[in-house]
Amino acid sequence: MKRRKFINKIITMLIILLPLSVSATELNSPNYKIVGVTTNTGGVTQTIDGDYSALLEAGRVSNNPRNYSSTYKLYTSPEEAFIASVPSVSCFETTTSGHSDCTTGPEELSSGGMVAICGPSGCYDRARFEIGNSSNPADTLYAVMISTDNFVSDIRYVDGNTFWPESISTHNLNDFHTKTDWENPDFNLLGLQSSTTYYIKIFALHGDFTQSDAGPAAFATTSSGSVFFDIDIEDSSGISAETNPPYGISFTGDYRLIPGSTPTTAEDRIWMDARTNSQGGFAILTRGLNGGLKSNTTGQTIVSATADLNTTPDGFGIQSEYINQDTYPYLGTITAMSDYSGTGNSVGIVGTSATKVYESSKPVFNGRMALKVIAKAGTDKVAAADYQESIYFVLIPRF
Amino acid sequence: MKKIISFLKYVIPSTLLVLILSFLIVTATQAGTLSAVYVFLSRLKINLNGTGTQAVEMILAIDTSTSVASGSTIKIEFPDAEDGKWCRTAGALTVAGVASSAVDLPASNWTIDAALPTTGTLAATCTQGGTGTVDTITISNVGELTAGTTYGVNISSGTGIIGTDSTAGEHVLNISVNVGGVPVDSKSIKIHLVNDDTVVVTATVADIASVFCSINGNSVNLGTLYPGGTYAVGSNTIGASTTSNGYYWAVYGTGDGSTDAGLWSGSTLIQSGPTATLNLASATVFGFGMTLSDPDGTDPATVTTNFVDTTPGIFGTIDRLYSGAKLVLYQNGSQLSTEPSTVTYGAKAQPTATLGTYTEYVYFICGGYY
Repeated sequence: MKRRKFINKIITMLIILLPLSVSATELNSPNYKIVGVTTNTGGVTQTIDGDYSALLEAGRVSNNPRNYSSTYKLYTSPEEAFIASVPSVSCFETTTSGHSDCTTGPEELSSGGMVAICGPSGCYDRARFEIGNSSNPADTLYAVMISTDNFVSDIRYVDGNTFWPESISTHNLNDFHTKTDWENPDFNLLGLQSSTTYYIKIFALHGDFTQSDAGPAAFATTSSGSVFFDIDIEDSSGISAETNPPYGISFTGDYRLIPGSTPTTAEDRIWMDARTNSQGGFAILTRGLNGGLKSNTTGQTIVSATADLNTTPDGFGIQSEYINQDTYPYLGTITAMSDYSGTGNSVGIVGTSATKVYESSKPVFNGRMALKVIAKAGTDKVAAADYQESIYFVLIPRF
Repeated sequence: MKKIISFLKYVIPSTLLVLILSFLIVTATQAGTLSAVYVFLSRLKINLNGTGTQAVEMILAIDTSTSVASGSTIKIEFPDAEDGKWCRTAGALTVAGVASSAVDLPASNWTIDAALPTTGTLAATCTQGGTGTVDTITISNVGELTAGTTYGVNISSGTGIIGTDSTAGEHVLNISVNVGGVPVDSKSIKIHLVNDDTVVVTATVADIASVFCSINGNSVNLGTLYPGGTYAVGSNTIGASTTSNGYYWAVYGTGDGSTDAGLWSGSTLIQSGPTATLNLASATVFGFGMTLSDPDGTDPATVTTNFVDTTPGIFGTIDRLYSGAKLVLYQNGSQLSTEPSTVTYGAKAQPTATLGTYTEYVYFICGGYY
């Protein structure tokens, strides 16, 4: 008895839940109409079909082996003639290098792959796909479905406005674009997670109730991001020099500082390597431990400041001497901040607070920079051999 | 009544089931991707222990892709294989919103627009990873976040200590905004640690620039000159050193006090002459002049052209008064040890010269190039 009651209870619950499961089924209306569609050519006159010949002519020959043989063939439903052809993904790329299957993007992409427009290791938060239209007309609209598990449980669409993934609940007609409109932006998939494989499928729509089945899935994996930073010490000819720490610059011997004398430029330079695919480029910042060259013996400090040392009695700072990077027109270039880009003996500060020395607003391939270190001792400075400053450098990528 | 109770026995569990299913559907929604983020570490050197000069602090700039209600937490998670390196000591950190940072990229999403808002007081902790967990910095009591606004927050060591991993190269940091412990927006970024992020600049400051000048022998006797006879010579030495950028020697004479430099007896002048040099080896040339030896072979010390001692008998002439001083020797470059130069004086009396004692006062001027 109890068991029967339990079974009844389950059945009742299922009946209550049933509307939830069927509500997603689309119901036809007896008053619908199909507008704005085209039909394929190739229909033939079937006089024996009487009143229904027109509909049969609009239908397609079934591809189902059970529906045709060498002696007969069946046509599919006439509705099939109005369904847009199933599109394909002609390219879906994130990290291609040196080549690309995409054909309608920027020139740099066609010749260099995605690394040429996203930087070293490719794109970590964006991608580009292009649509194989399967002979659909130019005004056919397409929607894109995206997933990280090949549509097992993660099923989303691509928002037609932001190009970010969106949930099914916010997917609507605004997410349908023509092939041209989808492919116009250089990146038509944004807001992706790094080191993640994404799958996409594309639907076609050409008039009401004509959405095709999803095309075959294509996949691509985003980059994990990349950043590199290195310091080298070498003289002004050290464009390709690679040196190991500890890193030191000295004003001794012929380069010693003489109070009241003209500014002295150290023989060696501070060379730096930088590269990253971070979309916001990078910033290199500097900071000093003492805010100048400090002597523990004399207690005096040759204070660092942004200044022209030719016209100041005393000072210490750095000046950009060399900047270069690989030439990728789509990517960024490195610039020195104005305080550090002077000439002659104009230097930028190495203070106790971090200041920006170099910057790029976009990804950079193989950046190389060099800084001069220039100092001038005033007549109030007492002789000593232990004037010293520790200069810290950091490279911060902006993802 | 009995029917209603019986009905509710089915409806209530069913409703609960529907709610649970709805919750599962909602929580299964994929987290968004942060629109912009950077982590501004104060040091990039490996293996910093977080104390003293090895202290590490950071500024996090973060912009969510969707607005997040007040009460969220922000997490910075470090790689699993680096447990205990980033959170050297677990505990509370010092945290405060910042409205800007030196890393900001103007006119972009990577510029901090506002300090991280708070509900109550911002708090941050550093927790060390273990099996299945990672070193994590968690910022709590975060106020409402508006999509499109980049917020900044500074995090530094308190009782918890922030350090760096011991391996140079790329390290992945996962930044997430969490509601109810579930990430709603996240992004994995990379930083690059280096073996050393420091350039040590050392300097020797020398004594203030100076020049040392010496004249060895203030009186030079040329011996006896015979009117119309051969020329006589005598010499002394001068020396100079300097910590400046060079030194120079210049000379001028007094002569007869009115017309020219030269040996003056009180009535007769063996003049140094109007020409730049004198060839006293010539039978028809008379006068007074001098030469200097080059103090070095390779150094930049230079005897000016008219006073070189390379041709016997040829002497450079001098002029009278300070206004007529001539540069005879100079060096472009410091000279830390004294280097001497021999000054040779040559004189030849003209046939009309009268008997007597002839004297010339040659003044030497020495100075430094600073």
